[in-house]
Amino acid sequence: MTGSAVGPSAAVPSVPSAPHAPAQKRDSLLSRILVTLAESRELTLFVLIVILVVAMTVLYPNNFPTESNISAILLNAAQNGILVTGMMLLFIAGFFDLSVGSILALSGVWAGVVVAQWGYPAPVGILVGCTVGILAGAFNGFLVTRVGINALITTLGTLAIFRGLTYVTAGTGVTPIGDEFKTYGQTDFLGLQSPFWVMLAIVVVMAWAVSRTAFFRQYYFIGGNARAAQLSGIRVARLTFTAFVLMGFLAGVAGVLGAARLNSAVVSAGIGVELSVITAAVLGGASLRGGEGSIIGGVLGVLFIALVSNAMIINGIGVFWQPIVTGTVLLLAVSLDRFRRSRRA
Amino acid sequence: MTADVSPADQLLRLEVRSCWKEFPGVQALQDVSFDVRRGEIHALLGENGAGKSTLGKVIGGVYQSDAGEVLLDGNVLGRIDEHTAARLGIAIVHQEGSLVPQLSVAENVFAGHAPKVSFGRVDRKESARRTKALMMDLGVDIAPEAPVYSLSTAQAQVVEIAKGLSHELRLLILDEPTASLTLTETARLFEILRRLSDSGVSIIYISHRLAEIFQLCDRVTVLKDGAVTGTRDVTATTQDELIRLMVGRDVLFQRGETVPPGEVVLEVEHMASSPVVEDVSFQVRAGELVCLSGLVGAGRSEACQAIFGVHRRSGGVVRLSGKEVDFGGPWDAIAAGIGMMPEDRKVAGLFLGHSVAQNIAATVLGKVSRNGVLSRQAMEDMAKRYISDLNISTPSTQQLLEKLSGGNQQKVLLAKWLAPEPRLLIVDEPTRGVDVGARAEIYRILGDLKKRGLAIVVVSSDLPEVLTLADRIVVMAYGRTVGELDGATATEEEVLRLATKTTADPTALAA
Repeated sequence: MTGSAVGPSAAVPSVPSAPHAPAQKRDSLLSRILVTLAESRELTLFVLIVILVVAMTVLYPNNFPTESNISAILLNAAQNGILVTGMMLLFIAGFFDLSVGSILALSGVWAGVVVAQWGYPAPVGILVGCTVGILAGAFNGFLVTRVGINALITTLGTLAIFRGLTYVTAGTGVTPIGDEFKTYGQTDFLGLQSPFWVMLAIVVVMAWAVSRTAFFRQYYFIGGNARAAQLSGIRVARLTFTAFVLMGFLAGVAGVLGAARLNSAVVSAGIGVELSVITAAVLGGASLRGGEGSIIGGVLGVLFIALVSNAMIINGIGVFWQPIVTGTVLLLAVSLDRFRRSRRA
Repeated sequence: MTADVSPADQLLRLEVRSCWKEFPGVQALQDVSFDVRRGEIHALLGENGAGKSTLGKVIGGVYQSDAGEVLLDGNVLGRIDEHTAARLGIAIVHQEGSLVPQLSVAENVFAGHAPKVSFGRVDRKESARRTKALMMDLGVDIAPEAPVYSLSTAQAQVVEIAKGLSHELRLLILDEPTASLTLTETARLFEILRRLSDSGVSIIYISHRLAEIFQLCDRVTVLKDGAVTGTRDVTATTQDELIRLMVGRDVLFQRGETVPPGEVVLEVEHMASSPVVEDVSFQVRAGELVCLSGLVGAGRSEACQAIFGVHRRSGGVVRLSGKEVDFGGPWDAIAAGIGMMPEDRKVAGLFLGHSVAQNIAATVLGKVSRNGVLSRQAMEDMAKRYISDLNISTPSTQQLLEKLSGGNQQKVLLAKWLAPEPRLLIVDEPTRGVDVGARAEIYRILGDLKKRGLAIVVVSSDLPEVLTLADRIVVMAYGRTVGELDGATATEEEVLRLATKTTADPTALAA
């Protein structure tokens, strides 16, 4: 009986589950909508966001739907929106990165130092900031794929190392950086500042690439079953490395934009941001097992969290309650998922 | 039920009465009865999948039998778990081992019943002393405080035995204990086992190595397809008789037709790949199906993985259509026209949470996309083609793979490897965990592929399957190719004799 897959736990449902079998049958429109809604995390989130927006508009017509409030929400969501695209890709492949906040700060600080202290033009500072992000991501990728340390430990370590490097580089930070530099973070277009537009561009490109291109589809296979992916000819190690590098680059972009927006490279930038980005990704359908999730889901997760915190500030519940609400929503979403899964099985 | 105790029964340590055990899709044990006397070393012999390990696990309380009863020293054991079994003096040394590598020898030996001092604190001195004493009894020198990960396989096995001895040991079950031991270590283990049996401990020795049984055991019970085919005194039987008992069964399937083979597609010369594969040489021609046969652990899967680029070779030459190749990874092998269906479809073959269409496309993402953009239509079309070609029964191309039956999963795996249109297909255990109907279909598909000029290598532990499929049988033992047989004329006995050749020499073990 060597190695054969028999055992009480190996029971495989041989018959496709009955409720799904007659797919052609016409259900009522309402029930079809409900089923689709329950099946897709993106749709669930989207509907929740719409409900939240409508409720807030009705309840606080003078505070919520104003141009300045909306643009503030979107601007605040820009940083996490950029980060969540990379985080989602890592989650799809079965990994994650805790060091994004530190990479973000390190990149911003390097951009600031190059421009403000060394006197280089702003584009050079941006380039250096992004390169620092790429290098930091490459270091993470190297440790995970070549040295073989798991992603949790690796990025827990580099979370501290990169933050430390930030302090070593800039002490208390760089303020102000320069007028040319700040235009990259403060230019208005259609009433919204540049970080939002950069985020939108990144989200659109990443969402398209991850859902449609053969290259990025490989990450779903890696997360689904890394060994099978390897044996199917997918270069698991190389792709994993690439995902970490991409994450580092995106954190670099977010860091540079943040520094430009404030015209200041803050050494404490991005502390704790990894947890809110991971929360958004999981809300958006990522799972620790890997193999599932979408960029759009992650971005909707970010938007949802941003809206919730905005709503709580407006109706005066107080910032202290915010994490309690976010955490509860997260656990509810995941419990719902587990419940659905167990019922289906 | 009260057992009427006759004098003969009193000598029986263990009695198994018509035991049945079913796993989903497999009748693992069918009406199995046998007994073990006091101080006897009793072998359970059978091919892979014959039910030996299952029987051992039922006796040791790891599995619960569906029907039948087990008596220990005349008392019926009800439904017992491993813990109770251990308390009753039944110990199993598993194939895969049950020690915690980070803990010390003493902690492992007394896992769960360490001697205590006040407040439930473990008496380390006492447990170290008693471990030391056990090791002395067993005649080995292993420090009680050494962490288990620092031990060799053989030493770890002795620790497992000591763990059994830490209770009042009545019955010791060993499952393929010598699979990863050297000959010297094996000889030492046998010595320990003999000493134990002399002191009255009964031993069930599970193995498929004939030579060991003649060396060590008193009696042998042979299992085949979950049923007992006979119990013999070792002194009154022969290897030939035991082999007949192991394999004598009806042939279920018709042999496929042979096609005239074409040019040589794969040539392997003295290939080595540490640690298992030492010296492997064989050839496969277009339109030919070659089976790699041998016992578990002979290095067949490892040899295939070395050809496919999963493991780097440490020596030898592999040629594909006359050209020497050295792949950096499976991607290179696939590009060169090789496909490999791995042994365990759930662990290494398929993406169970993905759809049928995605699984089939996994090896050919480039083929179903234009300018790097995936075409859902192309994926769908390809999936539909293979679903009808291979007769895969699934409600749609979007069905998640975990919802298909084993046979259909296996066919999806086959489709996944036909999609890149390889010229050489390696199939590791084509029908494991697959029902008879799907099995026949897979044989038919492999036959068709052969006719289309594919070169096929099949690794199988199922001898009737090998004899049904193979044009040529290459037999491996201990990481080496030890012989070739013609598939049309070979018998199971011949294959087994070659596969066990190295161990069949009793002097080798006595060393």
